[in-house]
Amino acid sequence: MMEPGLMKAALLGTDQYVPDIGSVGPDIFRKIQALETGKEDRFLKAAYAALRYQEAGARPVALDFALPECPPEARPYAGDRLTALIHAALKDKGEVLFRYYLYRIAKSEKVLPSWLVPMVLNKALEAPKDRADLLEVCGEAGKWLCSLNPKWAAMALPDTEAGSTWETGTLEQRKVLLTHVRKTDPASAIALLETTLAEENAANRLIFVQLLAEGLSISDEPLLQKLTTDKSQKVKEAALDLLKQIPGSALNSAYLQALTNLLEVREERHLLVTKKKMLGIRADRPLDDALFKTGIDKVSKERGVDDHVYQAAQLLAFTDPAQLAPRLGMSDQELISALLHFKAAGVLVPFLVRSAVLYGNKAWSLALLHRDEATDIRLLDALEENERSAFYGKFLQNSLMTLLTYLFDDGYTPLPVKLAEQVIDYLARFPYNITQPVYQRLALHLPPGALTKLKAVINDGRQDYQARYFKTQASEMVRISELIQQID
Amino acid sequence: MQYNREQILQLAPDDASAKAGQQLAARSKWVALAENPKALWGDCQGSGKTPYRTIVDLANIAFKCTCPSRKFPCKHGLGLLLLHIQDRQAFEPKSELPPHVAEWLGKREVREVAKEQKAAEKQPDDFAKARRAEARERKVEGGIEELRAWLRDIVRTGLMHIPQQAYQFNTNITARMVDAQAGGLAAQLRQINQLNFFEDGWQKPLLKRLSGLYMLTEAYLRRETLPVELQQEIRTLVGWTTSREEVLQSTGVSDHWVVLSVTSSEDSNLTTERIWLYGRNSERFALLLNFYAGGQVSQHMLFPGMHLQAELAFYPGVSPVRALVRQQQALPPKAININTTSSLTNIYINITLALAVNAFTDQIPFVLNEARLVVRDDQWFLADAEGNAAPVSNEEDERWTVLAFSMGQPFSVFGVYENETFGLHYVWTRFKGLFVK
Repeated sequence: MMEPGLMKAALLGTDQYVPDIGSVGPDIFRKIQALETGKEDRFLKAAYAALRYQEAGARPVALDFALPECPPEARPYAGDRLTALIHAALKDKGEVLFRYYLYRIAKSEKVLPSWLVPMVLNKALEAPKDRADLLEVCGEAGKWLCSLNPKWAAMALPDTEAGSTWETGTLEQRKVLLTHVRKTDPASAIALLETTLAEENAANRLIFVQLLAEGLSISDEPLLQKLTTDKSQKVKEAALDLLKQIPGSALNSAYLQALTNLLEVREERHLLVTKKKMLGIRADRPLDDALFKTGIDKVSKERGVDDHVYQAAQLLAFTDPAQLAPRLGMSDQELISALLHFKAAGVLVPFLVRSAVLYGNKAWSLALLHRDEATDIRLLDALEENERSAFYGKFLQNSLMTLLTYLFDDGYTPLPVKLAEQVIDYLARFPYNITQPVYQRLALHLPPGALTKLKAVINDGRQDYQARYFKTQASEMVRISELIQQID
Repeated sequence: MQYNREQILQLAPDDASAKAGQQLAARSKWVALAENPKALWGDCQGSGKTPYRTIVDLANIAFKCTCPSRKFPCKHGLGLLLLHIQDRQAFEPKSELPPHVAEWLGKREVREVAKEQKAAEKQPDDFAKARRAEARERKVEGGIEELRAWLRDIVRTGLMHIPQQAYQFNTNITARMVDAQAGGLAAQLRQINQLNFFEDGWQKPLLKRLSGLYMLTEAYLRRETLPVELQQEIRTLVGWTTSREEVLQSTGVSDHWVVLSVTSSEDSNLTTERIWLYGRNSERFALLLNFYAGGQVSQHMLFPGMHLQAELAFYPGVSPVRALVRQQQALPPKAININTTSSLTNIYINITLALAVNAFTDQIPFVLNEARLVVRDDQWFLADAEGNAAPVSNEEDERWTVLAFSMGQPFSVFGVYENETFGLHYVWTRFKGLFVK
C-alpha cells in the first residue's frame, strides 16, 4: 500500500521526506492526514496503522512445492526408556553412556525415533570416525534428513560401488570409505587407491598408505614396493614399514635371510646329561648395506650393546617366529627360550615383543608375558580366552588403565567376576588412577556378581578423602548397572 | 500413559539439579521407598548418617525434603519422582500414610484453604490506594510525554543511523520509563534491542515497534474513550498491574486444562515465564505469566503435557487470555488431542479478528490440524491441508526436530503467532507428541 513511502520517510527522517498519507488506503489515513498535530505525529500514527492493517489483512501464501515423505522404517523403533536415556546422554554430553545406548539399539536391530535423529546427525558431523555407526541407528529418517539438509548431505554413507565419493568426497569421507573397503575387501582398497594415487598430494598419500596397515597381505606388495620410490620421504618410510611386516615380501624375506645368517645355534651340555640349544649372534657376518637403507640402524642406540646384536634385534622385530624357528632347526618354544637366555636378552625383549604381537605367536607371547619388561598387553591376543586371565593381575598392578582399555570391547562383555572384584579392590585403594568416564565404562562391564562387592565397599566405614571419592564413583557405577538392567 | 522423564526434568530449578536428580533415580541411592495414590516418599542416604526424608505430593505435584538444599525442588525430590516413573516396582505400595507424610499433606491442605480465605478477606485501604494511584498517574503521564517527544525526535532524524548505536540509542529513555513507573513501556523499549540489526529487513520491525509505542501512549492518553476492557489492557501494557487478589476474586473458569508449553525468556536479570494452557471443555487458551527476578526459580509445578483440573481466574481484558490458577488438582496423564482447524486461512482470520479487537495484541495462540512443515532453500513454512503456507519462527534445531518428528507427514500443532510468524510449541500425531519448546 503505502509501505515504500513510509519506509523511505522512516529511514531518511520526516525532516527529509514526508510521505503522502491521505491519498490512498482506508479512510483512517485521510483522518490522520487531516490532524493538525505535526508531521511526526501523523507519520507515527500512519505507520502503525499501515503496518497493522497489512498484518491484519495478511493471508497464507500458496505453496508451490512439496517435500517428499520419509520412506517407511523397516526396523522397529527403540523403546521409550532407551530413547529417553539417549536424549539425556546427548544433552548432558555423556559420551560413554551414549555409545553404550547406541550399541544396545544397534544390537537389537532397532532405530532411533525420528525426532531424535537431527541431534544424532549433528553429533555425527563432529565425529567422523563414528559416523557410520551413528548413521546406522538413524535408519530411513537419517537418510531422508541428509537428503534435505545440505549440512548433513555430505555424511550419507559412502557409495562403495560407484566410487564417486572416492573421487569427489572430502578427505574425511575418503578416509572413511578407504577404511570401510579395506575392512570388507582389502584388495579392492588397493585398486581404489591406485586409481588416484598419481594425483594425490604427499599428505594424502601418507594418510592412505597408513590406512593399509589393516588387513595387510602379500597382495599389497606391488603397490607398496612402488611407493618405496615415492618422492616423499614420509610416504617412502610408511611403505617400507608395511613391507617389512608382510611375511613373504621381498623385504621381509631379506630380513629373514639376514637374520638366519647372523644367528648360530650351539648345543651345550646341561646338568651333564641333557643338551640345550644356545644361540649366538655372529659379529663376522655384516649385513648387506642395502638393508640399512630400509630403516635398520647400523649403529647401536643402546649403550653397551654391540652393533651386530642391535642389528639382529631390529631384524627380529619383523621376523615371523614361525618362519625363523624351522630355519634354525628349532621349535618356536626352543627359539624364544634360547633368545631369552641370551646374555643381552634385555635388549632383545622389546623387539621380540613386537614380533610376537605382529605375528600373533602364542609360544613367544606366553614366554614374554612371564617377563617383567614385556608390558605390551597385545601379547594377550595370541592366547586363548581362558589363558589370558592368569596375566591380568600383572597388568592390573602395572597399569590398570591399559588393562581396562584392553578389556573394554565393543560388545561390552562383562568382566569375569573375580577380575572385577580385583579391580574394585584396587580402585578402592587407588581411586584416582582412572578418570570418571572410565568408571562409567567400567560400570558397563561389571558382572551382576560384582555388585555385592561394590555395595560392600560403599557401605564400609572408611571416611578418608580417597574412600569418599571412590564411594561416590562406586555409587554411580551401581546406578549405571541398575539403569542398564532396566533397558527394554 | 504416564508423565515422562523430560516432563519431570522441566521442574528442575537448573541443569545441575536435573543432572543430580537423574543420578539419584536409582534404587541403590534409597534406603526406603514407598507409594500411595496420594504421595511418594523415600529415604535417601546422603553423605550424613541420617537419610534425607523426601516426599512428593502426587495429587498436586509438590515436594518436601529434609535435605539442606535451598533449591526447589531439590535433587532428592526430582530423583524420587524420576525413579517412580522408571522403576515403579522399587516402591512398596502402602495403604496408610506414615505420620510424617500425612502431617505434611495435611498442612498443605490447610495452607491452601487459608490462602483462599486470606485472598477473600484482604480489605485494601481504599483511600491510601487512591492517593498512591494518583501520584503514580502523574508520574506515568509525565513519562509518556517524554517518550512521545523522544519518538517524534527519532522519526524526525530518521532510523538509518540506529544500527550503529543499536544498544545505546534507547538506554536513557528506557531508564526514564522505569523512573516514571511505566514498566510496560520500559520493557517494550528493551525489546527493541533484541532486533537483529545485522540482518536485512530490520527497518520494518523497528518502525513497527516505535510507532506501536507511540500509538500505545496515544491510546493511554485517550483511554477514557475506549471500552473498559480495552482500557484495562492498555493500562497493563503501559505498566499498571492488576492485583492478584483482584483477579482471584473474579469468576473463574473450571476446566480440565492441559499444559501445552512452558517457555521462559530473560531480559535484564528478569525472567519471564509463559505457560500456555488449553481448556478441553471450554476450548479456550490461557496464559500464565510469571516473572522472576535475579536468582529466583520457578514457583509453580507445571510442566508440558501435565493435565490438571483447575479453576482459572482471568485478568480483565477484551479477549482475556492471561490468567491465574485459583485451585488446581493434578489429573492422570492422557493423550493431548485438540481439533480446531486444518486451514491456515482460518487461523489468519482469527488473527485479523484479534487485531481488530485489540491492535496491540502481540501473541495469538493457535492450533492447526493436518499441518506439515516444509523447507526449501532454507525457507521454512508451516503448510496446511489446502496447500497454503505461513512462515515459521522456530530456531533451526527445533525446525529440524519437528520435520524429523513428522517424517514429512501431516501432524497437529499448537503454537503462538507473534511478529507475523508462527512459533511451533507442541506437535502431535495420533500416536505420539513432541514438546518443541
